[in-house]
Amino acid sequence: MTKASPAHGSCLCGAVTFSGVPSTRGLGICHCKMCRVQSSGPFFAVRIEGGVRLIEERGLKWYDASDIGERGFCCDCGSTLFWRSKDAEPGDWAVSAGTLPDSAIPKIFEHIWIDDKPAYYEFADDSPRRTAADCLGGAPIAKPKGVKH
Amino acid sequence: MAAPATALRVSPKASVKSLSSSDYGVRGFCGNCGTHLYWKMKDDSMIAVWIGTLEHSDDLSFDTQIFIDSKPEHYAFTNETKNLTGAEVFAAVTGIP
Repeated sequence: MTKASPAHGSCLCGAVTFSGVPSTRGLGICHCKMCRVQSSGPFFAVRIEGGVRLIEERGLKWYDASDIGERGFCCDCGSTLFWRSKDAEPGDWAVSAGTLPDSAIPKIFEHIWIDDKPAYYEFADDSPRRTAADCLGGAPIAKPKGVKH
Repeated sequence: MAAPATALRVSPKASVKSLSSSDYGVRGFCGNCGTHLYWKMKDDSMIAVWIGTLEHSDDLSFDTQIFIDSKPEHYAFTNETKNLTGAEVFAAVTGIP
């Protein structure tokens, strides 16, 4: 398997920049309600081999989003950046694909939380669709904080 | 969803932050959680609200894509949509072809 090259990622304004090797496993797309509230669309998640290396982090802010996860964004420009488990190893974060160069974004590997997806959009790829229960393996669904819809 | 900017009331204002993202546009977001709130013209002639913030936002129709020439290769929708390039969007807004 060919090892992917390091890529540099950034928010819109440059107050958060980072580098890392996108996992060749592929792009995961999360359709959960929390992701869709935050950015009005599903979260395009790229895993980074060996973890994210922050270069500039003056704009990075973490939001305590649920029982299990935190969401990183830039507090200067609002760019959605990362999702991490509360017990994650340093840098072991899912990266929002939009922060990376288009050429560094892998093909779609899977869709997750597909049972949360609304009917009005549909992706054309044929990668596997997994429900929240599939992803959590029987663990309780995370409780979001803040406004519920 | 688009409307004149004066049609929108935001509360509480303290958590709303904005970025001057271009010569003509402003992006608003929540400073507490990063939720995308709106994109608006600097002259307040139009504001587009990000639908994720709306109640009952799952019952919508998806019929248009803009800046389609900027769309990357790694995704595509099966929805039949009217697709506009960036140049077509600017032409529609400014009236200049």
